[in-house]
Amino acid sequence: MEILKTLDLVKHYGAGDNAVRALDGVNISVQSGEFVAVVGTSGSGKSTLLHMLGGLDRPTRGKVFVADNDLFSMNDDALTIFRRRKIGFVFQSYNLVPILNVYENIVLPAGLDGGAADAEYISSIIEALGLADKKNSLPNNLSGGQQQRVAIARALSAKPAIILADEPTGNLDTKTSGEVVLLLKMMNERLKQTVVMITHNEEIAQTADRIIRIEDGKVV
Amino acid sequence: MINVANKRIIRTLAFRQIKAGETRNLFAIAAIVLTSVLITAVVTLGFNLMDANMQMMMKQSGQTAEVSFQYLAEDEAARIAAHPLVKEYGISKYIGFASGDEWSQTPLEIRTADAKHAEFTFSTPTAGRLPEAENEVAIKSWMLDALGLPREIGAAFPLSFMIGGTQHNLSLTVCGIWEDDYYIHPYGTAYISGTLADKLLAGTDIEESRHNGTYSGVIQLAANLNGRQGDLQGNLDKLTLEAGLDAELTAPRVNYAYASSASDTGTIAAIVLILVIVLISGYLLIYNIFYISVAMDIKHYGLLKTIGTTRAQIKRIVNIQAFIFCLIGIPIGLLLGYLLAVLLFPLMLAATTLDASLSTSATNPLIFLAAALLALITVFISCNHPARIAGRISPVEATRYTAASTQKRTTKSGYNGASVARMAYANLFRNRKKTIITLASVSFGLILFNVVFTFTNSFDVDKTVAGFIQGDFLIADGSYFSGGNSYYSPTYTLTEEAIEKLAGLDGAAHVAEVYHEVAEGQTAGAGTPVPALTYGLDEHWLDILEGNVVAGVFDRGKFLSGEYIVIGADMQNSLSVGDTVNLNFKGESGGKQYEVMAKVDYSGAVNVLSAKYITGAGFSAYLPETEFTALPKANIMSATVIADGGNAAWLGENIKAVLAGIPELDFRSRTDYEAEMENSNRQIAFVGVALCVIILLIGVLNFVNTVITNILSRKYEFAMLQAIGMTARQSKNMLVLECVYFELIAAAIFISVGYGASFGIVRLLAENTAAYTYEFTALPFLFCFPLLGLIAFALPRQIYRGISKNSVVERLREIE
Ligand SMILES: Nc1ncnc2c1ncn2[C@@H]1O[C@H](COP(=O)(O)OP(=O)(O)OP(=O)(O)O)[C@@H](O)[C@H]1O
Ligand SMILES: [Mg+2]
Repeated sequence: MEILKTLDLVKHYGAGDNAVRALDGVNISVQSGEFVAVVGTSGSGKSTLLHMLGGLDRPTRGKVFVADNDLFSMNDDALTIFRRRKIGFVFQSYNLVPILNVYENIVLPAGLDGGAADAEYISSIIEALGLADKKNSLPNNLSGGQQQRVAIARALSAKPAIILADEPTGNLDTKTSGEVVLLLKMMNERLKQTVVMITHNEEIAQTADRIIRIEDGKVV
Repeated sequence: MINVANKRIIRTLAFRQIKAGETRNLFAIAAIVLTSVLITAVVTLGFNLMDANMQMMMKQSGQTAEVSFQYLAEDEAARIAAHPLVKEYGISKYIGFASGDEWSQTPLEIRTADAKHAEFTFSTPTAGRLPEAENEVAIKSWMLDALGLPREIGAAFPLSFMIGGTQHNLSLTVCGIWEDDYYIHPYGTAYISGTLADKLLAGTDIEESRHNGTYSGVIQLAANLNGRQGDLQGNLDKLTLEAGLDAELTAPRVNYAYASSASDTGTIAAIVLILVIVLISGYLLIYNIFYISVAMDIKHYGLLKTIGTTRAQIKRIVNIQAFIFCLIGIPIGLLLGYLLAVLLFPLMLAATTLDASLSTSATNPLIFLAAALLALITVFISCNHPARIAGRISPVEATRYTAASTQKRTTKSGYNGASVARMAYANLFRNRKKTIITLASVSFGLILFNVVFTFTNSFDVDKTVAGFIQGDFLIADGSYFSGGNSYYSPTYTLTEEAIEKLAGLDGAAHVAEVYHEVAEGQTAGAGTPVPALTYGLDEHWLDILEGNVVAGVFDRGKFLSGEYIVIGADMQNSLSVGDTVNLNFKGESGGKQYEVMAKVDYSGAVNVLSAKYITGAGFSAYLPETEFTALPKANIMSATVIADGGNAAWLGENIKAVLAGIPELDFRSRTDYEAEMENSNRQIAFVGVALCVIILLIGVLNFVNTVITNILSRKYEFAMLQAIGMTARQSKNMLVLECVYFELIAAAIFISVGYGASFGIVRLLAENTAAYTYEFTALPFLFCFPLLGLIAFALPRQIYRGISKNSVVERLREIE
């Protein structure tokens, strides 16, 4: 089943001669349960693509469908609500809310939605990600690898249709990077969780089911 | 969408954010405290001033009750008392008026009164009580003075009067005394007991006495009504109708203290204006604090957006924080503001024409409610826009790596020189909006401070004193001074002999009199005569008269001929130059014809030559003194001694000696008046400056907050600059320079707009009131800018030291 699809996705920054064509007609499709790696040189447009896929920013032209929903036909609030229910993010710089503890960070998307989080499910992922004894810590007291695991748990917490990860290992050492990718892969397999992950690391990319290569805003 | 769970997480986020932002909280709360201090102080002062005004009017009207019926029979009074519209009432029965020499000038009314009525009419005894036994009487304290009796309970008080053709001569025992100002109510009141009244009134037909105008046994009823205060007249009409009363006969009246007067609207307008100024400065500060706070937390809000927080939820996060700050700040502000008002109010009262003895530190809960509400509204208006900005933040912001500057940077090639000075200048306008708001806030405080300071500094004692005394010493009857000359009535206490003695004193060059009589004025063609307040002027005064002519031409020779008069320019009289009037001084038929030569404005210097203002029909007329010296008996209102330039103090001593033999007379020197005016100006200046200093403080707080948050938000940038070779010293200098540039702009605004505004405003006021003449003063500038300079030099260094404790590497690392 197709869970994610783009149609002639175009994103330009600026206008006129200075315009940067960050995305230049991207058509990709991701099947449910797939683990996809996106690779490309710096400035090729990977992050821009990910922002579009997650509805964080609006494209210049083109469409994105997530679970058959046309993202950019929604207004900002509808898109925000859709995001917290259907899309999980993992960023290079973890982006945890520093004023909330680990557990609060993890259940934040569910809390914002007003629903109580599925406690059993949450504790199972906390267990699986090895965060059980860190539940009450504040993010600043955790190591980078731990913080990134919290971010992964948060992305998973709402049982999203898809997880989008932008260089999740970018700030981590090789050993920790391996662990984090392994965890992502495990979640992908165990929960049939679709994952799209940007990476610079060929080795990590090789663990994916499929690799999408981007050059100058185009899929190659 | 609104449900408990998501509310809880929003609340948690808001609370945690407060916990995390200590400096920000401190500033936000301080801002709210200052703003609500000002709001509370102004609202309290306003309320109290209006209250004092109302009390003053009640004192003048002699009543606090909202309505009263003047002439009622027993059954009518009972019907009103039983009516549901009547909330509370007091009853007083008129018995008669006293005869006897002591009461020929000042009428003395004999009445009964219940406790409520006494309370309504300021006549609850302050010593003793109202009469109960047949031989008891309660009276105003000065009535004992008039009979030469001691002010003591138990004194025997003689009372002679006629009722229905029967003469009564009683000697009653004083059982109660209360204070009353003779000059406001120049009539006596004696309360007797109901039992005595019943005895005296036996056989009196009330209906008849109401018709023949003796009014013995007729009841006055004063009442407060239920229903809307704004429609007293309507309710009174309804009450009169439903109680089946004849309005013509019973004379129902609304107390004029409750009818909002012109002076009240003036006070309200002034208070509203000050409130608006306060609200604007509070708004600028609170807005800026929240704006900066949101700008600093942009990444945080972007992240929340990414995870799926909606705009409404983010707005709520900001608003909850604002609300918590209000919960802490507003009560503190209310308390401090109230204390400030209590401190300032007596000073303010002393500087107005209101009686300083008025007991008005009214702790109306409405004051606090209004002030708290105003403060709350100000805070929510102030943080509305920042909250909206927070809600609109793009989720992509969360993915931006640096925590540094939050605004769009248009690439400027301005850094190429990269001198510290140029960088500082460029940094100043990095966030144009923030800079402009801070500049507006600081300038606003400075300008206001300057206006108020210049204003009070421009107070012109000579000009003000000119409305009270012309010359060096003013001698008149005591009542002329104690009640203010606007209550003066002829007393015949200042005599020609006394004036001759004064004129003979060493150092007295001249003594100029003003005669004053109330005559009957008959204008051509008009029916009944009207009261004419006439003044006979010494030749010395003619210059003042001439100087204030507003219509007609003043001709000295013609005026001295005694065929002409000059009249006061008044809205009420329809006389014009060239009209003839007949003035009759003795109330007999006849009198003398005069032609109106000119009209004068009698609000300024001519005030010295005048007594009561005309409030009803009538006019004031100025004549040469020869018209009065020809009368068999003429009242000299005042005598002004003009010194020959010698030792004024010695002259004053001599005048005192002359007046020692005439206890009714009193005198004031020019220096007395000057001291009095200076003092009242100082007091009003103190109130103004106190409020302005807080507004100034608001501006300074805004500046300090901007400086601190600005440096904190650039932590990363400074670490980076140091990494690439900028020394800490250079960084500090750059920050100091940024502040200095800011202050230079503020100074430019201050000098141009600030001085322009104070010049304009003082000029405007000087034209309307006689008390001010614009005078330039550099003091506000010399006071404010060294203070700001000190902040500019000390604060950035201090804050920079705080953020640069750790090594560069560590600082670059700690990005969150
Ligand atoms: N907000 C923006 N404004 C202007 N240009 C932008 C913006 N964001 C990205 N770009 C430009 O778009 C292009 C693609 O950027 P993007 O961040 O997608 O690259 P990337 O593949 O993620 O690179 P990296 O591997 O370094 O993260 C770049 O040339 C970048 O300069
Ligand atoms: Mg990228």
